[in-house]
Amino acid sequence: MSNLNVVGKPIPKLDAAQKALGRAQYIQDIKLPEMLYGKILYSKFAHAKIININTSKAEKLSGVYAVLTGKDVPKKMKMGFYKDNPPIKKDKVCSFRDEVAAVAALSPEIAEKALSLIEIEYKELKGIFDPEKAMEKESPLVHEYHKSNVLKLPWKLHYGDVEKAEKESDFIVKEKFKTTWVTHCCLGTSGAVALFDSNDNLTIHTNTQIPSLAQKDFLEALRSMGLENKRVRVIKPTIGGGFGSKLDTYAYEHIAILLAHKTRKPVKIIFDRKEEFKATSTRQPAIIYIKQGCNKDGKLTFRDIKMVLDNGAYTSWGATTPSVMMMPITSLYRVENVRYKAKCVYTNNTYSQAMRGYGNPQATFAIESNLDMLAQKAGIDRIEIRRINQNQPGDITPQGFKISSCGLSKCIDKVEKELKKDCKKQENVGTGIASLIHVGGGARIYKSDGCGVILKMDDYGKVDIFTGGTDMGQGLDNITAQIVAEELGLFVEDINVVHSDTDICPWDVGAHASRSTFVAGNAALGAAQKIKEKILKFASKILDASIKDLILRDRTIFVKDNSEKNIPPKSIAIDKLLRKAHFSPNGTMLMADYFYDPDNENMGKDFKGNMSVTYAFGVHGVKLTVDKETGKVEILDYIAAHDVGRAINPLLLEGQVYGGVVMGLGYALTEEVMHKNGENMNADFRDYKLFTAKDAIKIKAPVIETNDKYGPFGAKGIGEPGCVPTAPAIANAIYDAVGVRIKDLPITPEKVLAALKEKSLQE
Amino acid sequence: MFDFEKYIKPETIDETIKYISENSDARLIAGGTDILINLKKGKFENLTLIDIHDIKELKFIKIDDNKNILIGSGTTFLNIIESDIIKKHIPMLIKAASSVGGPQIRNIATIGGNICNGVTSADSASSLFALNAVLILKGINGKREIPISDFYLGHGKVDLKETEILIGFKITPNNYKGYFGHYYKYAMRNSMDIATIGCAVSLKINHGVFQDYRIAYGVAAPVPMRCLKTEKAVINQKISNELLNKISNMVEKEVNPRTSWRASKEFRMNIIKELSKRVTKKILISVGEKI
Repeated sequence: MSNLNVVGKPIPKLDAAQKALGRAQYIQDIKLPEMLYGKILYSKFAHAKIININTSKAEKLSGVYAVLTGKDVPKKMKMGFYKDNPPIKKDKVCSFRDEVAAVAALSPEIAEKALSLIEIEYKELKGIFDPEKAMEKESPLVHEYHKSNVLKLPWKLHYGDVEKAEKESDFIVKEKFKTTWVTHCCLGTSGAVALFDSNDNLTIHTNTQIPSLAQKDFLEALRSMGLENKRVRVIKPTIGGGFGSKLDTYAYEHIAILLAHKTRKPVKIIFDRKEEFKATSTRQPAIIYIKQGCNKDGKLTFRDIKMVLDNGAYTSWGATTPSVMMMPITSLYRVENVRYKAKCVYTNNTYSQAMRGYGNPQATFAIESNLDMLAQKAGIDRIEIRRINQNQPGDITPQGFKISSCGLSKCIDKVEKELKKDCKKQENVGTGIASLIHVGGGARIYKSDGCGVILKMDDYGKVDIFTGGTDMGQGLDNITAQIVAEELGLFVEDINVVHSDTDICPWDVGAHASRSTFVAGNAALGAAQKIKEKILKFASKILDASIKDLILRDRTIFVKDNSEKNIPPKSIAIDKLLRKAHFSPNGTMLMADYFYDPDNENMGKDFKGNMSVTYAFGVHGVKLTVDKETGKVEILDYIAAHDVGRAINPLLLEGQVYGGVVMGLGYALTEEVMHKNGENMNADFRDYKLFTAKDAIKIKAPVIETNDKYGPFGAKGIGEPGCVPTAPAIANAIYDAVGVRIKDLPITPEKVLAALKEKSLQE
Repeated sequence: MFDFEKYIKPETIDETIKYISENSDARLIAGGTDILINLKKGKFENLTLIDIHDIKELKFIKIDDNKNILIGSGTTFLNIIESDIIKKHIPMLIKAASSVGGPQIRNIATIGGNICNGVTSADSASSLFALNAVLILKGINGKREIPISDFYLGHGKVDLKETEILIGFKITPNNYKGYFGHYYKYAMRNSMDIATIGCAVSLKINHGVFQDYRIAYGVAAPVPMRCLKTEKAVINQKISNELLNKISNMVEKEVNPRTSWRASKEFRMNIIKELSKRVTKKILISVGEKI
């Protein structure tokens, strides 16, 4: 492992110059001959009946090619895994982001004008915006046909005996925590361009993290339109940020398909920023009731959590975040007795989606805040209680997770050392830590967790890799190139990664669950190893040496030097070898394919199963000061120690951690999609308080390498972990600094000040 | 995307006045950082935009023979930040200018636009209030001057006649000579944000006694405002922590912040009270006073 030439090197992103020069082609840049522009009209109410829609004026407008309303949408065209979301609503709207009509026109301006000419008569209905109230019997129903606002989902587990453990616990802390809506804020807004060929095969250019699953969704959409046995080609442009937002297929994509089919022309729909804020999905908000107990020695005895999740009006992956919340709930630290129950409840709010961490930040906020409270109650040092309960390699957690490598202990040590460097206690200054566990070796959510790769080499020693994996800005192209270059003794410049097209690239389940480095990385490695075998076999003949004596390095195959020192070792350049292989009788060219599906398990009915081949761990530590008069929190020091298995590219790795932490800081302190009776109040960057460059802080990101035996060159996933434990670390530090515990996010100065006031009244 | 009927780009002030008096739906655009947002939101229709951003006559920072500091309405915030005159005589305005938006906004947004937009959160307004700035306006009937405190009529409403243009600001020597000032913007972020509360203080001190004291706020009422009763009570008083507490309690009675989804009235009040002490103290410490 020590002789690596490419893996482990901080190689800048391969597309950095393209992006910096504005040459990368985003969905906004795509322009096709005869292309029309689509626009969507949204509801004016959170909850209302549609009495009548009159589109005649819009249809008459010059330059308008098609106007669609709910009645033009095939009955079976429904989005999301719960199939409760038609791309255009027909009889009733259930949230402000409900699509009620769409147009295709010659220009975006004409399309916009046409929308303004559509007349809709609504009858407003009473809305329900609080999920706990929505569970009450007398509450209005969001979807009458569903008979209840509570979704039929199976989120319930109980391992060990929580009630018995609770009785036997020496210390118990019971609390309620709350997290709110935040959104991904991708710099590249959403959009799609759809077109049909004359045989009704669909090509769709779209921002997606799941090309293969999107293809499946769109095939289903075509079937609902009566188009059987057609082909769907999904082409990804350069993606300006994903963070989970592109893990489902959306109304704008389906509407683009319907408009393209109706007009027989390519139709492009692009969101502006306001639309991006209002009509895309957020992180899943949660109301969390938690009870944790420990014995006198600080050993955790049980963890009991109930959640109510505001599902919004429709169902996307947000409703499945409990499946990932289960991971920290059952497996962050050693705790034998765990119980968890979550209810997803329809409301007339916006609906949620996957977002970096997939429920983990919400659950970890409650667990790690509550753990600090428990430590205090038990009179045990906050860091010590984490050490007492830390996961260890070889553990099998109550949910059946097999912990292969585990750097949690090292991460705690590292953060503690950094935080204690300057240990003099100052007024209103505090420290806090919080840990995380996340999947680091794929995640078997679907029947397959696989990724396919095809690799070919040309006559000049260059490689083309066709991977199922998706680079959405996170840098998978680099990781893939570095792994293959390392394996074949090449340079990254020799590698071209193609990941953009389902007609060309093999299947992959998607860029989610921090799985790309691990799964797509292993797939690329597998293909590279197959090619390497062929190269060595051929080289051994030419160099007249045994395969085991051959080394690939610097674009050359060397024979290990066993002879006298002054004679240079026998060698042949790879390109020369490839040409020899190609241009000889019965010639051959080197190609290989590989499908890697990790050896992980689907969760059973009881949610047990080793979901990931390996798990990522990390600890965040923060030192901050609280301004007691204004409620402002200023971060003085931040350490994010992550067990990454191995850093394939330390530069990108740090970037992932920095980005994750800053996203986590926004979640902790400033970000919130404000809703007033279901209406988004802050649909711009002025009022949605995303951290700016001037708010970002210096972050230390020590890398803990545990060299996982299953990872490509030992690597685990690191895409999501960076934002998981940030909020509880901050909340714990605020408590340490000024003695107030903020239990709902974001921790705004207003909340801090109110809590300080209440505290001073009590004293 | 932007719904306007006509776009005119005059080169002089007089030309501008001619166009605005000829077009009943005329609207001046300087930096455009406010009006373009409102246009995009559909707040106006069929406007005639008159672009004054590049009119040279409106871009100046100078001191006249009477030692008045004159700032043209077309001066960008970046011009102010980089001005030696402002730096030397009224550095609090640099503080205010630096807290506006982000670099791109400061490159193009003008101080005249900031004031004529009429909103209480305008970062330059509270400092100009504390400096008793006088606005120089010109219309078809000639020039007039008006103190900034009279210019604001209500939220988003200013005393700019339909045929008038703001030429610039005048700060007379008796309002800056011997004064020390500071502006503090309390916002949720360090840049690209709207003030939760803005506080400007300008004061004159002699042997530990306040010769003059001015405190102005943004977002503490529907328009930027001064706390005149508080100010009066401070003049001729000795510097002390008790006095600072008194200031903080007195401003509470003069301001009128409101609850919005951005922040509650109670929270804004807390910040208003705290900033009065903090900004005053900061100036006192900066001039070597002990407190």
